[in-house]
Amino acid sequence: MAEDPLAGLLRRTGLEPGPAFADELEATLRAELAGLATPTTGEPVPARGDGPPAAMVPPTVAGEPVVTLSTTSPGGSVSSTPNTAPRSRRVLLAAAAALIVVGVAGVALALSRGVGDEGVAVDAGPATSVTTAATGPSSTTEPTAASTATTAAPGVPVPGWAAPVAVALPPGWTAVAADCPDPRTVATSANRATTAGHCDDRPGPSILIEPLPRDLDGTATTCQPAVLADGTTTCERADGATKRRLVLVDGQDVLVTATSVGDAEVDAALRSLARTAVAPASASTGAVAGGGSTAALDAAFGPIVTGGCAALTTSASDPAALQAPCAALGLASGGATVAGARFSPTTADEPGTARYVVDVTLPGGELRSAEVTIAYRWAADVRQGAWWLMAIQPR
Amino acid sequence: MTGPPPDPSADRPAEPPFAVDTPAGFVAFYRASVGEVHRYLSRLAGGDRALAEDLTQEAFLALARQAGAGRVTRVDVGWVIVAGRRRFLDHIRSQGREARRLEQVAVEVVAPAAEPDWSTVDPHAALAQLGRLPEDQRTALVLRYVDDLSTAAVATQLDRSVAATESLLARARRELARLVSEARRG
Repeated sequence: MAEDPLAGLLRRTGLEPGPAFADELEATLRAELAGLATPTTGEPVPARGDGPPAAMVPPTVAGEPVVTLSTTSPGGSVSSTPNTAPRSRRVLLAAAAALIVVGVAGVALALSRGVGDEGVAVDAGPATSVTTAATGPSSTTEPTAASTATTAAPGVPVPGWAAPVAVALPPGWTAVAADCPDPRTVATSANRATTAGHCDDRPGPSILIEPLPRDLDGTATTCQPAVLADGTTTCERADGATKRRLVLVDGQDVLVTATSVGDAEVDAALRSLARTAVAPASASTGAVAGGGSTAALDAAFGPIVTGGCAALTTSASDPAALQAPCAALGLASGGATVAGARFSPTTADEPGTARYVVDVTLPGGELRSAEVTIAYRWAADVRQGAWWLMAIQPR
Repeated sequence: MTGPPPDPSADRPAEPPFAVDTPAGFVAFYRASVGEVHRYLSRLAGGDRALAEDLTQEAFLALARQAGAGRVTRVDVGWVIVAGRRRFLDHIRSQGREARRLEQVAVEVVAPAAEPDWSTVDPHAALAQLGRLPEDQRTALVLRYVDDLSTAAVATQLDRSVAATESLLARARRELARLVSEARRG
């Protein structure tokens, strides 16, 4: 029987996928597969072009320094400056299936910034330390004595992030699988970006903690201009029992979505994360690894630091920049050894950045300070925004 | 009369051609099939590129999850097309029944139109007019004429009776003819 002419016509219709979309989706699929599948043959995934797509580049990759910060003072606490701007947004997650608990190497709650009505108080314990690790996930993420938390098993790696490490959960909490299966495409002011899936409809009490590329936030201080594809603005959405707030963890925006969980419990969870993600107290001596020299600082911060204490700009890009501001800290190239340092969080006021006050104790005991602005590497490309997710539930 | 013994594999469905149980295999399959999948879903989407991209993405991601979990090892492009189609159908099923009723009333007054010679219609123009059709009409046409599903199968997919689907197909075809003719007249 002859084909219906209409059928023939309809079969000739159709749009070719745009190359940008095809590449982007391929990158997304690679990331998905990296997170879900373990190749049985060990064969590499074929790369398109010159190298892995941007979405596959983790924010922390092996061979790059990882900085672990703890913000402490004896018996003290660090409270975030309340953020007067409502800054929360609907959760979009990288599709991370069956994720249990993912800790991020080098994560410390150096700064917590509350969103909305309140800030997040951080009681970081008695130690003062800054440590750096040369590669990969920090090995300093063991629980401290201050935490009576249980240690969860390492979770499934999230695409784009270094291998997860065990983190301690607050007492009374257990890790649960977090399945965020529905990636969405969101629209930002700049472009359309494939990211994330909704994880905010999880039943029952839960806390989701996930990094949030600032680009997706549209702007640091207002709801505009980013609007999600479903029409939901990026601003505060506190429907029923779900509350969201944005905090900074080690210079990274982290969106905390709490459902049917009180603020106090959320704070406790964050505090526990802070304690357990930082170096143990013993690491505070000789705070900067690698000899505590300018080179070590530079190695530690080079990839990510800009502005603020401009001296801490990567030496690879601008060695001369090391000279001026940090000379005031005694950190000129080849200069003084850093005997100790303390990072005090301040609020970030630029998209993709976080500022810290760096206190450096010089060998002679003199304390000098400078402000450092850390730029998130993944802020430049939302697709590069790596995500990590932790879901915990009360027992 | 005797003859060669029957090939025991003759009636066995052919194994899907693409192994997706490794990342490399999956990516190879993706590259080979994304164009066809996107073209198909863009028909369903009536030329809405954003929707077609979303559907394409969701379909491939669904496969990635299945493959990653070891539940799917070999596929052909049909797997992804069906996955995308299901998502689209879920989407249109979620549309309000009220809208459907209103539409049914409205179409009663649509005047019949003589069908153009479909073979002379530019595919791009056809896709544009396809996009102007109500979603369920467009879907019915694609399922019936692109996927070559029976009317009963289309009815099942659209959660309608066969009679209602026959009517829907007729209206859709008529409406597409009218739109194409109007566009040709400028």
